Amino acid sequence: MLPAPCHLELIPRNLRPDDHARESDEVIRVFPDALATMQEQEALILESRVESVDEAERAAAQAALRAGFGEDEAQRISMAVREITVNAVMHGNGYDRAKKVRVEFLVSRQDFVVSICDEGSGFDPSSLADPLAPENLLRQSGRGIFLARAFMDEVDVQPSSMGTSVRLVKRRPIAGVGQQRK
Amino acid sequence: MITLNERRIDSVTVVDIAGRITLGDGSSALRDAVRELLNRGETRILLNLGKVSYIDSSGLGELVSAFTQTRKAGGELKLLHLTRKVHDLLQITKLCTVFDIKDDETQAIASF
Repeated sequence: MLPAPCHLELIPRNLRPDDHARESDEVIRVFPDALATMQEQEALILESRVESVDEAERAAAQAALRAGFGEDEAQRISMAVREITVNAVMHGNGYDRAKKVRVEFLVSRQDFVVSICDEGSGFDPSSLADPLAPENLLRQSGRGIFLARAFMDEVDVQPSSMGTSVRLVKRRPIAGVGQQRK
Repeated sequence: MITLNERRIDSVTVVDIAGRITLGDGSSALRDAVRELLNRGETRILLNLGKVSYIDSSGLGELVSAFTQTRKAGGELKLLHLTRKVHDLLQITKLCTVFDIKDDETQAIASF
């Protein structure tokens, strides 16, 4: 099922992916293939289920490739999106089908931005344990945001009682150089 | 999509894994396979990841869980033939300091 139309105007200010870029004429938007023919669509609205994680990952990989990233970098970006979407589906929305996850892609001349918002009750990012600490190495979970930070240039987590918004930013490849800056 | 095939060489069970070890089917298939081996008393386990194209944090967690469960059972679990991407992932997460990682199957089996 295709997600419901989603306009930036409907997004609460604190959940907007890139207010600065949004005001620029240089901004173009990238849409997943499934939505390419529906120009009104600007985001994926996903149900809170495991399959949505795969969908977000695929959409991110396609969008990253179209934004000029190489396959390896596109996979790292899509993995970051996957990890944050897992958190949104599992921890944020608690697999509640009534709650949605919004995944939005925005490409400016310089940046590839993905915003992932859930409808959970938020969490305290400072409570996250360091997965590299010796006492945490054998923990089964707790590596998602760490991996996203490893693969992206910026990861901004904005929790609130209305849901958590995570903004992932990757600098785009420099035209003509053919390599990513990171 | 994930496939797992078991081979027995000497006292070691080699599990050839292909596909993705991710949240959902991939992770649960690995969990079930290792649990079944341990239930059968097969506690020398070599996971061949040569055809594993992708592992997410859930899959990493499942590998860690398999490692600790095997150790609790008095056995050993080692990894074989990591792809570059999977190796990078284990380095980033420092899990390469946890696992015994092998490049050669014969030597890996002899190391148990």
